[in-house]
Amino acid sequence: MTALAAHNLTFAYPGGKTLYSKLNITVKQGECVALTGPSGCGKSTLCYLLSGIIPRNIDGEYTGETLIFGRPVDEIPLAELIQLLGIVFQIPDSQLFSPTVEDELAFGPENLCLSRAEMRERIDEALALVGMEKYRLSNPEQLSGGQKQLIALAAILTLKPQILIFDEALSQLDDEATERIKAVIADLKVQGKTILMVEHDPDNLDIADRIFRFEDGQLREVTL
Amino acid sequence: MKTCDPRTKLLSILVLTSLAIIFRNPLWMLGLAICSLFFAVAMGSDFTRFIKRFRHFITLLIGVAFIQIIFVRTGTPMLTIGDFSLVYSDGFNRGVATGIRFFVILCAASIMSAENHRRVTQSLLQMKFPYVFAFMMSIAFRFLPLFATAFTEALTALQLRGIELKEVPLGKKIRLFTYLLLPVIAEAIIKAQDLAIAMEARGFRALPQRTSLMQLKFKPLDIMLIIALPLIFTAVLYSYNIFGGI
Amino acid sequence: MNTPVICLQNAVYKYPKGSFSLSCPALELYAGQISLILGPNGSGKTTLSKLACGIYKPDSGKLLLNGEPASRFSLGKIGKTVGYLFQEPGRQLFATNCLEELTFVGEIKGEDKQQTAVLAENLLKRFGLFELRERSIYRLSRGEKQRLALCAILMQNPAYIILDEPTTGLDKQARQVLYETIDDLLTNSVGLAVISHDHEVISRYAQAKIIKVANGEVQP
Repeated sequence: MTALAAHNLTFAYPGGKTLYSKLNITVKQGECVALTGPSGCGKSTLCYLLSGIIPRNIDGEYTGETLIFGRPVDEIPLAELIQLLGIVFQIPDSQLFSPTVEDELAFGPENLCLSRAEMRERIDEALALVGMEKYRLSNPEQLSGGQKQLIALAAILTLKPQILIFDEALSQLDDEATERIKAVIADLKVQGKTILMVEHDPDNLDIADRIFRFEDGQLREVTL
Repeated sequence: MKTCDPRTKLLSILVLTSLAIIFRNPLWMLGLAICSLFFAVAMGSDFTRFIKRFRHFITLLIGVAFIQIIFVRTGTPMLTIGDFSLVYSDGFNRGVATGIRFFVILCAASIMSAENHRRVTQSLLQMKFPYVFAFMMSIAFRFLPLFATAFTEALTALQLRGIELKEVPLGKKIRLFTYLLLPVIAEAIIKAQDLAIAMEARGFRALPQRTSLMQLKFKPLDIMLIIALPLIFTAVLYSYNIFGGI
Repeated sequence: MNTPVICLQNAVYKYPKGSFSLSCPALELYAGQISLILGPNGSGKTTLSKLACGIYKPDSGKLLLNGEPASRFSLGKIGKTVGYLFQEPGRQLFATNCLEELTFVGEIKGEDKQQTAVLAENLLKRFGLFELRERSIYRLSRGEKQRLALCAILMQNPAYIILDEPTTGLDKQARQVLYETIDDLLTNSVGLAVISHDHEVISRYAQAKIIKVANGEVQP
């Protein structure tokens, strides 16, 4: 089954040049796909289009379609969308805003009006998955960069999405932290999650099943 | 009192600041200042650290109070040099009142700054404030220190370019500060957008209501203060009316 | 033996908030040489670099710049000897366009406008930014912002520059330009200390002096 797809996609930011020329991509359920390419080619923009952040939060003009499990992204209500797809961004400080890790992880389930019992269960599971149980009551500001990204990921995992997008989520981390996150991504793959990673470091592409490179507004599959 | 519910703390702040606005008599204001300090310390604020951080505001405040003392020239002369009366009673009272009002506000702010911002948000939610508004305040608490860091880094970078702040004339200093604010404001806008995206990507505003993992419950001390504070407020006002002269 | 541009002796710095402290028994950094400051996130690399640059004043021990105790120096004076490129270059860019970025400080200090303009234009040409001199800094790429921030630092002609994680967020092409910039600075006898956890940087500058930081301690 196709988890994520974009067909004949073009996009331009207001007043900007067109980024893609009828771009196409499909990501099968359970697959891990990496996107790579030079700065400014539109890797993150594609993530925003596939996750509905464009047009919900960011303006722009696009043609073509973006689909999650066959449904147009802009037709999926937000409460349903966040349980299908979660996105981890590059800068941890722009994603974490709660005084404790527990509060941070509770934020998503609270938005879905889940019960306290259900929230606690999901927080337990997410912390176990990223190996951060002992930091449950810690202040995220005092964690290292890698730990912050693990918490940002755990905060998404409490929503139990089927698809995960990592938008250059490893770029600000040292080697140890990168390996930890890659290990968690590998676990998520085993669990059958669909993963899309934006990466420019070739060393981090080894966990991908397929790698695409942006060239002239198109995606071409490459092998390392 | 350190572990008081944030709602109790908010109520105590309301009582203290209301009295600060109503009181005019310097002795009563002094009493209020002492009570405010007591509340601030009892409710867990690190007052000395708070004063350090706001020392620039305190300098401004002392300046404003001083101006009132010198330039309000009504009432009984209190300080004369030869034939010239330097300080009048009305000026003195107003200056002291301004100073103490600001001190009370500082105490009130320090009570809340000692509080965890998620608990403050939760207290607003449990008081039925719209959750968007409650989170707005929470985010402000979370990000103000980051903007302070950005401002400090910008100022450091500017000085490392050879600017000796003390030697820059006032006119150019104002121009310098407009340059300084640009990266800080730009960063604030970018961070605000990034945060808004991240929050909505986790479902913020997906539904008209939201539940909370955290639940604030009043303890016996909270209940006692919630009953006592309005009664004390009323009694103090009544006494002030009779003895202090509203 | 040359006098080191930067010399830390038995320096200890403790953050006012929190329990983290950094201890540096001895550090000497020379003009025309490159050093790499390595260590995991949270080890104290940025703290060390800010101590070395005089941004933080040590609680004990001392910092010497060109042999003189820096405790007496203002940041303005320190900036004539040491520059600092922050990890987030946007935080040290203040003007509305690239040329103004390099000239506004001189105007405020009352320096000769002609001289400042010539120096600014030469630096922009040297770092491939002359074509972008009228462009808004908000329309620059991260790599361009970095180079502009370096130009602004070089207006002071410092003997030493510290770069905090300069490869963060740069793609392959931009990294190549950064390496060329670093090589250019070294050729012009500017000393450099680069904070990094990036393998590529470490292997490219394998001949550099290595300064390891772990758990708030600078390793001897």
